[in-house]
Order: sequence, then C-alpha cells, then structure tokens
Amino acid sequence: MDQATEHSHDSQGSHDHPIDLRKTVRTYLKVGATLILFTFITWGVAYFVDLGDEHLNIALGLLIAAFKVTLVCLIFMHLNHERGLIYKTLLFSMIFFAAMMFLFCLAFYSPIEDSFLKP
Amino acid sequence: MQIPYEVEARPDTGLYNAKVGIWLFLASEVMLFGGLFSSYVFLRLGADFPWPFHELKVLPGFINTMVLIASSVSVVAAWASLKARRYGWYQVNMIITLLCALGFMGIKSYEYYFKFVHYSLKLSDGSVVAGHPKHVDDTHHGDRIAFQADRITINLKSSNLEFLDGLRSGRENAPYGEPETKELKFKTKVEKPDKSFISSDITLTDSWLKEKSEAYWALKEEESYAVIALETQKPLARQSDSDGVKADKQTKVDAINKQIAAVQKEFADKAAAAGLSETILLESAQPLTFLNKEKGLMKYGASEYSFREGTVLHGKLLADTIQFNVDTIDLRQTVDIEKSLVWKHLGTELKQRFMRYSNERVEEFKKHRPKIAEPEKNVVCQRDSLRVEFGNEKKKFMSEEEADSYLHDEKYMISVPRSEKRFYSNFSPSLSPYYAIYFLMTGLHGLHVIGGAIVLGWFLFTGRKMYLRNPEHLANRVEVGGLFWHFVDLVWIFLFPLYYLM
Amino acid sequence: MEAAHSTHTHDAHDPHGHDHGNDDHHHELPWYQKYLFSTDHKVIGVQYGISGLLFLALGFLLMLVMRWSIAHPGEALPGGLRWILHIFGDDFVTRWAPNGVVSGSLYNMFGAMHGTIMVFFGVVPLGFAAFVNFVTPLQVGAPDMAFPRLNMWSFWLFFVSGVLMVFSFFLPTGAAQAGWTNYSPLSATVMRATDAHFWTGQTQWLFAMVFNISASLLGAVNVLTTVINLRAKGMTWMRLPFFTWAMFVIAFLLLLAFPPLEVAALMQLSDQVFGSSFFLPTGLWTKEEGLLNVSGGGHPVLFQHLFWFLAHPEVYVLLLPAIAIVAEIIPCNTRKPLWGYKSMVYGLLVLGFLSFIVWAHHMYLTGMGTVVATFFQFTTVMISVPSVILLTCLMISLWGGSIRFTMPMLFATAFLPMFGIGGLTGLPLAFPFIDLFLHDTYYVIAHFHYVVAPGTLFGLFAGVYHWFPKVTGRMMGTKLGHLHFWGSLIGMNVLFGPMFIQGMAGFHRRWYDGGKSFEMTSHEYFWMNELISWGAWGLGLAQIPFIINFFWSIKGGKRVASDNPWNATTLEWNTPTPPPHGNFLTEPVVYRGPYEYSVPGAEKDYSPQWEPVTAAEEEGLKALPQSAHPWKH
Ligand code: HEM
Ligand SMILES: [Cu+2]
Repeated sequence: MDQATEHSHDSQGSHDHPIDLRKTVRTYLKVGATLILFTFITWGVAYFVDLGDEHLNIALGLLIAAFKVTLVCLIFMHLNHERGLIYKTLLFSMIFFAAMMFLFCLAFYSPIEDSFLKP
Repeated sequence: MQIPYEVEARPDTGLYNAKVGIWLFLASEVMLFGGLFSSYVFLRLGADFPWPFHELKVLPGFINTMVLIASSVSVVAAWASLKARRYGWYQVNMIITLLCALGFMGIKSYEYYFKFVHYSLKLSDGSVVAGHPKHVDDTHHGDRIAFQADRITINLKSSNLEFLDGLRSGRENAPYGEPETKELKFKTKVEKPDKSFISSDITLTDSWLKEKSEAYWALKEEESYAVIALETQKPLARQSDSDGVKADKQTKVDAINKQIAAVQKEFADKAAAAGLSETILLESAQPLTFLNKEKGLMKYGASEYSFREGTVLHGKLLADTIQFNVDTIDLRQTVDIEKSLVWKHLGTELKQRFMRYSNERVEEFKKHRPKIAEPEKNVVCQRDSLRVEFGNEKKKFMSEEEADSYLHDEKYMISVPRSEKRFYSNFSPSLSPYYAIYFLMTGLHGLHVIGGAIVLGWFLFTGRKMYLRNPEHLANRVEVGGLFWHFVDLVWIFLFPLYYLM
Repeated sequence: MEAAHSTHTHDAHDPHGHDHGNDDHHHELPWYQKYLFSTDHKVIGVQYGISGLLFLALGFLLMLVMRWSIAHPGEALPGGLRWILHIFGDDFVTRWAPNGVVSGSLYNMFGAMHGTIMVFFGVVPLGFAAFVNFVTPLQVGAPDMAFPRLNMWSFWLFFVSGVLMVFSFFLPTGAAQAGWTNYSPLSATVMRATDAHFWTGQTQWLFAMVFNISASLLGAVNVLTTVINLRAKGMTWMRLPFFTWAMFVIAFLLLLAFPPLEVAALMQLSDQVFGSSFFLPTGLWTKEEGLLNVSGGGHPVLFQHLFWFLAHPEVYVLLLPAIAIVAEIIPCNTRKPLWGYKSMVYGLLVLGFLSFIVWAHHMYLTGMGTVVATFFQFTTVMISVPSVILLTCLMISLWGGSIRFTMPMLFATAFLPMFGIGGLTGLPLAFPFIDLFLHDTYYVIAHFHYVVAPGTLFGLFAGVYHWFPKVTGRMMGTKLGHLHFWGSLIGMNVLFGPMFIQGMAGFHRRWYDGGKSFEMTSHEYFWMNELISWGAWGLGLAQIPFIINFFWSIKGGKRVASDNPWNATTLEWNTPTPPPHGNFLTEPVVYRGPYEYSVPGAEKDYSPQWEPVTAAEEEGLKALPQSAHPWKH
C-alpha cells in the first residue's frame, strides 16, 4: 500500500513530518503496558492496601485512575504537543466540571443550620 | 467557494476543521460524564442506604479495562500506520480495535444478564436477602401472587386486558397461552335503577371492551360537561361578594353541590338504563387462576386483587409468598439483628453461624483499626460484619458447595409472605440509586462504545477509496475517530474503580 | 460611489447562473434538496427561523388560554379564543376543556408547554439557531458552516423533537404538566395514577428534550468550529463583529451547559420507564397509591441542581442573541462606531464564564446552607456587572449619533430600557432574604418576562427587520412595522408591568384561577388579572401587522437598491442578494474593524470591513488624539 502517491497535501498538515512507524508504535505499546500494569495496581490496592480511612482509600484509587487517564490523554490523544486552542477549550470544561462537583459537594458539607429548622 | 481546511490545517490555529469539531465535542462530553460523575457523588454522599461496596464481580470489569486499553493502543497504531502510509497495518489494527469493541460489549452483556436475573428482597424490618426466586418455568417464578378469581370487575374508564397476562389456564403446569385466554366467556350483571339486574353472556375480547368503554365514555363526557360547568362556578360563588358573610358563600356553594349531585344521578340512571356503568361485573363459570407480578399491582387482600389500571379480581388469594433461594444476607439496616425476620425463614443454625461470623469480623476490624472508637457504628465495619455473601468470603462463612446448595436446593428455599416485604426487585435500575446510576453510566458508556465502533468500522470498510485519493484525509478521519475512542476508554478508566472497587 | 455589487448586475433571482469558484456539487438540485434537506447554512437558518416563529406563535396561543383562565376562572372561553383549543382537535376539547371551560389540568399542561415551547423551541431556535446560521458564516467570510451535513442533521433532529413535543398533546394523558422546569418528584407522580403508566406526556416530554438537547449540542459544535477555523483572511478575533462574538459565547454556553441537563433528562426517563429512584426520596407517598412501590433513596434536589446548571446559562442563551443583534443595529443606525467594543467583548466573556456558577440562586428555598447561599448570592450579584457593562455601552453608543429610526432601530432602542427593567429587577432576587418572599410569585414571572419578551423578542424582531432584505432582497414595510412596534410596546408593558405589583402582593405564579379560590389573596389586586389579560390580547393583535408584513414583503416589499441597503460595514453585506450557494463571489479579505462608521477623512460615512484603509483615512485618524478614537483597524 506504500505506493499511494505522495500527495500535495502531505506537506501542509500539522504533524506531517514523516512518521517512524516502528518507533511510534513501540511507544504506544509501552504506554499500553504501563496502563495494564496500573490496572493491576488499582486492583491490588483496592483489596490489599488500607490507609485506615475510607476517603483516603478512595482518593488513592482515583489518583491511580487519574494517572492512567493522564497517560491516555498525553500520549494517545497527543495532548503532549497540541495546539493552544484545544487546551483552552478543555480548560473551560474542566473548570466548569470542577465547579459543578465542588458545589454539589458543598451542598452536603454546608447543610442548613439546625436553628433554622427548629423555631 | 469551497469550505477550506477540511484536510489541511489552518495556519493560525494549526488545526483542520474536524479536529476542532471533535475536541469541542469532547469538551461537551466531559460535561456529560462530568454531570454523571457529579450526580454519582451527590447520590453517594446523600444516600440513606448503605452504598454497595464490592458487590459487582470485579473480574469482568477488570478484563474489560484490559480490552479497552488494548483497543486504545490499536486504534492509535492504526492512525500511525496511515501516517506512515502502511494501509495493510492500518487494516490489521482497525480489525483488532473492532474485535476489542465486540469483546467489551459481550462481556458487558454477560454482566448485565446476571444482574437482571438476580433478585433482592428487603423485609419490613430492613433486613435484606438476595438470591433467586424459585424457577417454575420460563415465564413463571415462585415470586408471583397467586389468586383465584370467579368474578372480575372491569372498569370501563381505564381497564385494559393487560391483567390477563397473569392468567394461567386451568390445566396444571401448562404455560399460559395468549389466544385461549383472550376469549373468555363470562356472564355480566348490571344493576338497573330499580335494583333489578340485566344479565347477559359475553366473550371478553378487546373489541368488546373497546365498544363498551367507548359507549360509556361518550355518556361520561356529556356528564362531565355539565358537572364542570357547575363546579367552576364555585370559585366565583366563594368570591362574588368578598365582603359578604362566610355563611352566605357556603350556602351558595352548597346549592351548587346539590345541583351537581342531581346531574350525576341523572346520568347514572341514563347509563344504567343502557346497560352501562363505570364498573361491570363479570362472572366466570369456572374459577380462573392468576399468577401476577407486582408490576401493575395496586393492592390486594384475602378476597380482592386490584390493578392500578382499575380492574379488580374477586375470589380468593391462593398464595402471596415469595419463594426464594438465598445467596446473601445483609443486616446493615436491621434494627435488631438477633430478632431479624430472616432468621424466621433461615433457621437458628444459620443465625448462630452468622452471629459468630459477625463477631469475628468485628474483632478483626478492631485489631486492624484500633483507633476507631465505636467500631459497631463504623460503615466499613458494618459492611464487613453484617453483610455476607455465602461462599464468597474466603470460605469463612460457608463452603462453596454449601452455598451452592443454599442457592439451588429446594430444601433451603424460603417462603416469605408479601406482608413481610418492603421492597422487591431484581438487580436493575429500580433496585437502588446505586444500581440506577451504575446502569445509566455504564449503559451510556456502552452506547458510546457502539457508536465509536460503528464509525471506526465505517472507516475500515470504506476507507480505501479515500486513501487512494488523499491518504491524509483518511488519516485525519481516523485520528478524529481515535480521539473519540480514547475518550471512551478514559471514561471507563474512572468507571472501573468507582463502581467495581470502591 | 455605491458598492460595486448591485442586485441588478448580479441577477438576484438566479444566483446559480454565476460562476463562483469550483463548487462541484453545484448543478441544479431537486427542490427537496434545495429547500427541505438542504445543507446550505442560509436555507437552514431560514428553516430554523420559520419553525421558531411558528413555535413562538403556538406558545403565545397557549398563554392566551391560560390568561383567560386566570382573569375569568370558570367561565367558558369566548368564541374568539376557543378556536385555539380546537387546533388540537375536538376530542382534546371534550377531554380537557368541557364546554370550553379551562380545567386545572389543562392549565397546568399549557403552563408547562408554554414555558418549554417558548424557551427551547421558540426563542433559542429563532434567536440563536436561525440568526447564527444565516448571519455568522457570512460575517466571518465563510462559504458555509464547517460541517454542512451535520448542520442539516441538527435541524432535523430539532424538528423531530418539536414534532414529539407537540404531539404529546394528543396522548391520552395529555402533555406534560409539571412546569417547564419539570421538577421531580412531581413530574414522576403527576401521571402515575393514569392508565398509561409507561408512555405518558411526561415521558414524551423527556424524549423530546433529549432530541432537542442533542440537536443543540451538534449545532454548537458547528458554530464554534466555523468561527474558529473558517474566518476569512484578515478577520482577526478583535475584528469579529460583536454579533459573532456573542454567538460564539452562546455556542459555548450550549456546548458546556446542556450536557448536564441531558443527564438529568435521562435520569428522569429512567425513573419513568425503569422505575428507578434517582430523584425519588425514601418514603414517597401519593394520595392514590399510598406509599409508592419504589426503592427511594434518591434526591429531588439533585434534579434541580442539574436542571439549573443548564437553565441559568440558558437564560443568557435567550438574552444574548438580542444584545448581539442590537449591537449590530445601533452603530449602523447612529453612523457611529460601537462604543467600547473591547469592553463589550470582555464583558461578554466574563458574563459567559460567570453564568455557569450562579445557578443555585433559583434554589434558595430548597433548604441550602448559608455558605452555599452566600456563594451564589455573591456570584449572582457579580454577574450583573458585565450585564450592566453591555447595556451601558449600547446606551452610550447612541450618544451624539445622528440616529435613523428605521424599523430595526426602533425595536433596538426599545430593547434597551425593557431589558434594563428586566435585569435590574433580577438584582433583588439575588439576595436570599428577599427571594424568600418573592420566590415563585408573579414578581419572578415579571422579571424574566421583561428580559425575554419586550427584551429578547424586540431584539429578535429588530434582527428580522434588519436582515430581511439580505434574505429576500426586499425591505419590510414601515407602516405596518410601526403598527407592530407601538402595539407591541404598549401591549408588553400592560402585560408585564402589573405583574411586579401582584408578585409583591404575594400572587403565586401557578394559580390557575388567579387566586380567586384562596381566601387569603390580596383582593385589591384582582382587577389586574383582567388588565394583564387585556395586555395579552392587545399584544396578540399587534402581531397581526407583523405577520402580514412578513409574508407580503417576501413578494411585494420594496426591492433593495443595492446589496448593502443599510450602508453597513460587516461582511454579510458584501454578498449578492440573496447570497448564492457558497456565499461570496471572490474570497473576502478583511482590512479593518467591524464598526468603522464616519471615519475621519473617509469619503463615505461608512468604511466596510472589506475595503482597504485609504491614505485619506490614515491622515484623518492621525489628526485625532490617539487615546480617544474608537477607529482602530
Ligand atoms: C441581570 C442579572 C440577573 C439577575 C441578578 C437575575 C436573578 C434571578 C433570580 C435570583 C431568579 C430566581 C428567582 C426565584 O425563582 O425566586 C431569577 C429567575 C429567572 N430569571 Fe433572572 N436574573 C438576571 C437576569 C436574567 C436574564 C438576563 C434572564 C434572561 C432571560 C433571566 C431569566 C430568568 C428566568 C427565566 C427566571 C425564572 C425561572 C423560573 O423559575 O421559571 N434573568 N433571576
Ligand atoms: Cu438564573
């Protein structure tokens, strides 16, 4: 299939420097292996590690998940070298997501005062 | 003019259109799943029931995580192959991706299936048992309400023939067949104004019911015309002289009420004369046996069974027990564990075993976390000590063989009368907000997997022409499809620990 | 001296006769592809516009019926109004309004559907979708939207959602009855006792909303991509017309705020169809069924959070198109640059940002703690700052201009005070201790209707009058236009003004009899019920000249003399009239800012974006003190 003609478009695109397939795929495989490794770690941590507090355990699990997600974003989704516009867009959705999560939680940690309920 | 930047990147943004589009779409997807994750947190923080922990089988979720990671690697490799102009490798990688998608959905369906056939029964004192209802035949489980009716009250306003779904033909153990049951012969009786009866023989069919109810509705509408016209005078009457005496207003309202009653009586007479009434009593020559699900049930007693749509069965209640094989006991919401209702059914031997097991767990917990002051009130401790899955607790509670016989042997089957039940459901969204959001999130994620697979499959099967015309165009498309795919993978990476592990 | 393209030389009736670029799909299309399943952004814009107007009309008619019930509870609808009910067929009338008397259920149904239709099927499709589709690609100098086929799909998804919504009236249960906010558990229980449990009006409402939301999301992606990636050469961000800036921000609001509502709608669907308890608390009890046979354990307040997370940004989605349109029309008709273009843009961005974190000011009475309430009070007060910046800039733009009171300008000027009233009356509501008394009263109704009706709708009418000549090549008539304008202005104020007073007197927003059956209502304000209804009939009458004008002008209006009849500066006026498929004859290039009116030294009083800066203009600008002048290209 390599004989597909070198197209004039090729020289214009953004990531169009010719790609070393073997090297790139090797990177991807390494990242994939790391992800799988960390999946095992998440599992192990959930069953065999106890930090002595529910919330800490959850935080640890989510931290590992966040690490895995970061890998996926940076390497598979090429966010390690993307255009500014994309970061800006994602920044906003992350901010609003964080705000939503935070304010939802706040509703539980700042309940209505008892004195309002009892006359 | 042609739309620019469909393939090549715009110099100042450095992006081609589809890539801008997909990232914007993903930003919106972040908010979609963000809303779901926030709701998860909200429901979990605000739960007034013990939030399930390690209740889902981990292995399928674990395998699925692997599968998705593999597909992520292969889809990005497919893109790289196109970039390197290696169409063959592209095809191989794409096929791997699609196989992974198929595998993921397969495993997911298997998980769903086993949830749907598993049931949970909450008793009136808060004790919960899970397991399987007795299996009688394909359409019948031992959790139906058996009722023998010789008379049926049809409500012409609202009845439909759905209630016949529970009908079991007279022949013992035969599955109930549709055509037979929909042609039932009855005698009807309608009371006339002079207290005499009109009786007739009818065959209960859709068309009979339709005809009758339409005739009745026509009358009823006429009546409601008249009644509403009077009814709506009431606010005016109350209001008319706002400075007037309260008693005056009341007399006016009473007068209107009287008129309404008169109108209603007039129409009742008219209807009866035509052999119609809101309810029609059907009498059957031989008694009919119903096995009803709770769905559609309004209420029932020893001699009456009412459906929500208005039909009432008269006769006698044969059985309202839930026949059930237990594989899990959960007493976290039970007021008094010693006196829990489950022991009545499961026997004292199991109770003693449970108490022993429970104490051991509490001791273990104390040793493990000595700093916690009241271990009995600690969520984790309760989770360990008050909920037990037979055979699944590293053989500490009972052996797997024994658990198996508890789940399958008729001799261990319990019969819980419905009066002792608070809530009964299979492990579906209706069981609790936990399962509701589990099914919603994984279901939505599954839809994304299917959608992504369709798009990627499209690129695989129709890509060659585009590749030959402009390989970069196909590479771009696969990049965009791949970005979506990675996002779906990324969501799962969070879903897995959230639902399966914590 | 007139612009180089005149309608004559371009033969507006046969745009396809021209050769503009190498558009390969450019042979004659069959009619259904040209007008129905078109991928042309202009056709789609017009489709959205017409559907939006139709839905606005439908929503308005529903409201007339409600107003009758409030002003004359228990009395049969007069013949002049009864036909509205017969739109839905005779069966509908016998079932819901025997003898033409509005029943309570019918009132609830129309109330819920009025809100839903006006917000999601009227104002957003007309104000956002129609204008953005028609104008924005032209203003940025693009040949079409970035994804034309997706654009067509969004429209048809929207169309399906509209059909689903309207057809829910014909269900045996009737349409949804739980308000446009569709709060649970009311929405989950209101139709539980009826025979069709599985498919009720409530369920259909949710289905329609899921479609509607999906359509909006796709549309938003398209708009954003178009603005980001298809801007013409020289069209830098700070040369974008304010209109397009506003549409850009709106699209972002839709993109990021709608998904949580989609989540909420799916959860409610699950509650309806699968019997789950996302929003049903433990121990839920109804009169008909007693203790409901559901698991419970869910949270009604969660629904409100998810709903308002969308619905507050949504109110800006309703408002901003009007501001966007007015910001185009004012400079054009005062022949002056827009005052404070940059502050307006930044104000807009801040407004967009803040609108995501004020939502719970709709929920002060759900029993939230003081910390949360304070937070939302703070952000809500904050957000009025950028709103005021926008309004002030528009007001100052009038200062010292030689104003032409064309039809669009009339509506645009009226928009300013009307929106002012609406916005300022929102401020008191931002404070929980005042909202305690005003929540769910007619005061709130008056507040947001002042923003959306005499505010947004006037802006949208202004837009219709302004761009009508570009769409059809003919102007709308002024005589009928004036009738429309003055009638609407008076009608609107008679309609919504007294509601403030009633609201402060404690009138609840959902009384179907206007409060007559409650002993405790403030009797001295009942007469306003009738006054308000008169306002509504008047407003309805005032729309008749508009309808006549609109349809008559398509064929019989005055032909435009040039492609740029208002002598405006933005790129859409640089296309043939009406613009052909592919829009521009030559690739447009932008040389200057969007509002260069009366540039010192220029020979005309407007210097369009597509004309290079002349030496004389450079000279003229040099003569001015650098710090002051607004004409920075
Ligand atoms: C200028 C700043 C504004 C402030 C401070 C403000 C404040 C508020 C507050 C606090 C409420 C809740 C009242 C209650 O339910 O008790 C409210 C309701 C509402 N506002 Fe505004 N508002 C503002 C502008 C707008 C704008 C521009 C719109 C655009 C249409 C709008 C539309 C609405 C709507 C639709 C409701 C009622 C929703 C419902 O309950 O059905 N508001 N406003
Ligand atoms: Cu708001």
